[in-house]
Amino acid sequence: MNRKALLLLVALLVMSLSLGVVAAQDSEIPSGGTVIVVQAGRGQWSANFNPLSPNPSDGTRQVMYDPLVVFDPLDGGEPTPWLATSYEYSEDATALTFHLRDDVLWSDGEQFNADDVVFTLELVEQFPALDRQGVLNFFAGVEKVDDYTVTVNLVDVYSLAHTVVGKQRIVPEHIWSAIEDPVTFSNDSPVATGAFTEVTDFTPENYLLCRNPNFFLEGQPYVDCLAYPAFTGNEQSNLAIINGDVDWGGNFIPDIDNTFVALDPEHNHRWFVGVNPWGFYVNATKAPFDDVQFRLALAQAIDYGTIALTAENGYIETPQEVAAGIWPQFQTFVPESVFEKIREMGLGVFDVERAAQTLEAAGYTDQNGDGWRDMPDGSPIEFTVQIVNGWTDVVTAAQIMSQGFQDAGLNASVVTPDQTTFQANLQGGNFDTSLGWAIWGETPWNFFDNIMNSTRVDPDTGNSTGQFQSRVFDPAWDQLLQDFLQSVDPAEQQAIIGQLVDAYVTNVVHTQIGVFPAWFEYTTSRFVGFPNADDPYAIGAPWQEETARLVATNLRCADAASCGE
Amino acid sequence: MRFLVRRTGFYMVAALIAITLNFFIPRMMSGDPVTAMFARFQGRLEPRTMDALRETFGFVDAPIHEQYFTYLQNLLQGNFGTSITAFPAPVTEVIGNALVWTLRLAGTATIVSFVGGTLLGIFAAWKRGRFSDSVILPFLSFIGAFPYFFVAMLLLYILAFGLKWFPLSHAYDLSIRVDWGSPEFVMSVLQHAALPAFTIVITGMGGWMLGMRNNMIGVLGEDYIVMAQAKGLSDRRVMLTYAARNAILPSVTGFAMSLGFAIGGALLTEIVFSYPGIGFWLLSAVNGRDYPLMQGIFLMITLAVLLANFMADVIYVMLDPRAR
Amino acid sequence: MEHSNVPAGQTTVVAPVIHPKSARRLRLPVPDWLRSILHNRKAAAGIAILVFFTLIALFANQLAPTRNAARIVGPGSQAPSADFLFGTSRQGQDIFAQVVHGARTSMAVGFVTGTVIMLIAITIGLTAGYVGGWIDELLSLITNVFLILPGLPLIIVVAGWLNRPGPFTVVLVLSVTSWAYAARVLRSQTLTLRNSEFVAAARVVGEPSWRIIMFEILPNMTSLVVSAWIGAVLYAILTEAGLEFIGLGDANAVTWGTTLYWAQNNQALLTGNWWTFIPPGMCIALVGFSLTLINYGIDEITNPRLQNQEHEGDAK
Repeated sequence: MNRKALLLLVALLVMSLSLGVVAAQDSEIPSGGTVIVVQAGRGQWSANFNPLSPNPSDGTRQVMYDPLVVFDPLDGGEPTPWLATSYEYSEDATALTFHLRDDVLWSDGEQFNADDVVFTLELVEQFPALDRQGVLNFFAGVEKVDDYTVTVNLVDVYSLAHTVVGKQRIVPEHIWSAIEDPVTFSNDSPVATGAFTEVTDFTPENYLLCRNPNFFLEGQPYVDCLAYPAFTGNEQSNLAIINGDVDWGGNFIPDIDNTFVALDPEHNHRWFVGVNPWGFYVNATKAPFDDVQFRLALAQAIDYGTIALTAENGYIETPQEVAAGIWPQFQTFVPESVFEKIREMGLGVFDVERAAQTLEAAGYTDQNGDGWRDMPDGSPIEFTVQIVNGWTDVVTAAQIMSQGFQDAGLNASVVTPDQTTFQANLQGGNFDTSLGWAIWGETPWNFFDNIMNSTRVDPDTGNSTGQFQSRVFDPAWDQLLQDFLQSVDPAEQQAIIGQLVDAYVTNVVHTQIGVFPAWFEYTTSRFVGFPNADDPYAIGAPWQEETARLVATNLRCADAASCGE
Repeated sequence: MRFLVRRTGFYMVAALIAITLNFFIPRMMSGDPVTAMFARFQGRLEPRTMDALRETFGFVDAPIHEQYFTYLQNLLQGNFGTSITAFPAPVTEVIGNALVWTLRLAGTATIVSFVGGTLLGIFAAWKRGRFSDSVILPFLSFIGAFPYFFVAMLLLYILAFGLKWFPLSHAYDLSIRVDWGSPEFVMSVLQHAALPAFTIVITGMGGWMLGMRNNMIGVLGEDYIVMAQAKGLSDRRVMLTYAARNAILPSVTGFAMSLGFAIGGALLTEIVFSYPGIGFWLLSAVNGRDYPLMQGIFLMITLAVLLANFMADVIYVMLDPRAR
Repeated sequence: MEHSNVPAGQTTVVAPVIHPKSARRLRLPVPDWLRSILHNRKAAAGIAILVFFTLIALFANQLAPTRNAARIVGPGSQAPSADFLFGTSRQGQDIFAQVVHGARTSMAVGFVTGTVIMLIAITIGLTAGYVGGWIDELLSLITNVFLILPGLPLIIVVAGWLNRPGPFTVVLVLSVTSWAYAARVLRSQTLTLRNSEFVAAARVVGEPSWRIIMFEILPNMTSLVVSAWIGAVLYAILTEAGLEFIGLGDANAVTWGTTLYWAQNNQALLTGNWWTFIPPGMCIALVGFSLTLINYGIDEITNPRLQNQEHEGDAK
């Protein structure tokens, strides 16, 4: 054992002594133990604990470096104070002030204060490659008001600024100011404010993140360490989960109720909450996808129920309301008239005959007798549905969809490029139709901005920076999206979203095929305190960057053995 | 000696061509690393951030010949650049960590498979029609006809998951501290390597056995073998010193080439058994359009094959005086 | 498979022990040639299995009539029954239909690839061996470069580059990357044959080079070419399955490899749906084994020693 390890051991001993004191005060909650965390196939680890880097190791953004505010997608973006106790906009809404906790220490014992926040934001400004959140979209400087208060100045009114700055991970000035190139900095011995900051036993196959001795929540975390073993694929990590080797998992496991839960119904659990909206995009720069009737027919020919049942194992339900795009997350924003319209148009319901009628009425008939419908001018229609090779659940969904299109008389087939090609096709507009996810942010604005904002397309290259775009655009929608950002009046914002969702539905801009869950399974044989349907305090998936910290700080060992004694 | 000098010249030319191909092939693929990264991020990166990253990774639009010469220059300095999938780790570090495991598992298993297969082949040729020839050989050939991953998956499910005779994944028990001095750790490594190594050996041995057997039979009919037998030399001596020595030559060449394949082909073993190694990184590099890593692994495999071939040449010269 | 074997028939083309004399014996009228193969028990068994699978491939539409065998036709995860002979996948596809139609694609890819590999190998190997000189030097260099380029990695990269995976891609990629070994073996055999009497005789008569290559040299290497071809087909079938298994194929195509890929992704063994995993795997293995058997047989027929002693061995 080398000196470093010895020091660590001593530190751990001292730590556990001091914790013993805490535990004595609060004898209800046992402490100790190592929770084994697994999330899908991550291959092999390469140490990178830089929270601002594009690909930090697991846990870095979840439990090691902290944001100012925790936004839980489950609560429709309801904020939980974290490093900041509160925030407010200025009168004219062009400045945003955060009030920080004054009892936070960095893991090396230094005091956390406003200087660190100012330093971090200025670092991001200096190195745009570190801008994970998109702060630079509106950033006009940051000021330290006092040791525990900072004010961020905005270029213009930007009503979402608090969600963006709030999620910024804060790094310590006293360490990072000496780093020459923070973009390529791999931060092997991190100093942070989170609950788990001490990297132990790092190998490409496994590492441990152990408790921060100075964590600001009294007595927390209750467990000593989180272990992150690496697996090459879903199959391999699923075997480990089923074998009982894993405490906290975020995997898609086929037929999970039989293959996992049933093995030990008392301890093995899963809790799937729908948070990932998936949809069907067309490329409206090509005929016939520029025709709203054609898009409507496609939407009517999608077998939503079979997709939910087959592709997603029946873990989700897809009622007709899903067609509103932002249902159920932001259902209060959807006017009743829009739901009526959805029912009237037959959106969100699988009805091949109705799809055929829609096509027939719009002039798409089989003119050359090959069994497939043609354009009104007689030219043949043939198109592909693209989806990433290897994403088997959505590949299955694409197959189900193309089967529905074929049954409606359309010559559709599925193509499966690799992920990079898929993305390049989408950005460059080189596709017919595609499946893809959408974004539900803290407000419904993010959803519509990605899908309907024409300014996201570069007029010279035709490349889009939008998440996914059907390229059905209207200048009026761009204006509405802009107006939302400029508005600080909730009623006005609500009205703007109402107009957008109406346009989204009326023009069949995009077709939501279901809200897919955040996969999350756990076993309580060693650790308890996971969120579930009865106690939905956070989304459970360990890869969830914002809320995993809420779970990790709440876990505790179930008995003496798992507490490490 | 002239033979070896000539071969060395050839290997140099081949290496240069391979290095050049190595540069161009990844650049012919669609999409760049930042697009790949954007895809992995599910589009949650801002365009400004992406541009800045592109610059960080060195993907600014320099003319292709300039990029090529920079690439050659860097190679000469042993600088393979920074990996993008394992950003910001240098490529050499990523390869170094992974290669050790691949060589340990796939390298050893391939050698065992070759040596075992060759010995069985000698035996089968000597004892024609006996057990090794009429039972083991067809059996191994049958196993060899299965797709490797199929055999590996079945064994993983039955022996590791079902019967729990072997560990499910990884190169050692993750709860044990990495320490090559501790017997407990070394035992754990051996335990974890047993099943993957077994699958490589059992699926590869049939080919070597058949090849060696047929070569032996060819050699056994030669006049000098008959002479040796007539002189009253022991069977054992004739078999090993006279026949096997000559019959093994073609197998040695085949083996040299298969070593390169073993490194690249270890991919399937690594995927099925979640075993660390170079093959899995190669697949990740391709999917992540990680040019530097891809090139590094490619180059390394090519050089390994060249080296193996050169060694085969040396062995050839040693075994076959005619080639001197 | 590519895992530990060198490409294109390493097992069978090692040590071509064919002397012009014995090779000449192969220039027999077809019935004799066929008879000698069918007389060999191993070759006959191999051919029987191969014919069986070829018939399945040819009559796939009659055995399992469907426009698209990837169609979802029934409830998922059904065990084998009268309705679905091999059960259904988790998605509800008919595995029997997939295996039957998969035979068509998998075997076609195997045989087409094997043939293309041999065409390239014959062209390059024979030209290099017969013409000699700087052409030989150049062609040998190219051959050797392709020999040392790591196969599987190259395949992965090229497959990624073509970006639309599918059976055609597999044919193309495997053909381009896997011909070198056979070309080298054929070249050295050509070198031997070039100095033989009958080639010298043809040259004296004034036959053009291409005629000598095509009609004097090539027919004298039939057995070598056939066994290398069979090796190449086996290699192609196994590698195709491997590529599809790691997800580099087209997940929508119906081949044995993709059926295995889906079985793996649906974690068939974990969920107990063994019927989606075992049949396609066994089909690949049986076709592979049949090819190996045929090659055994050819070896024995062309190499009298193997054959004679085999009989001695049997007699013991």
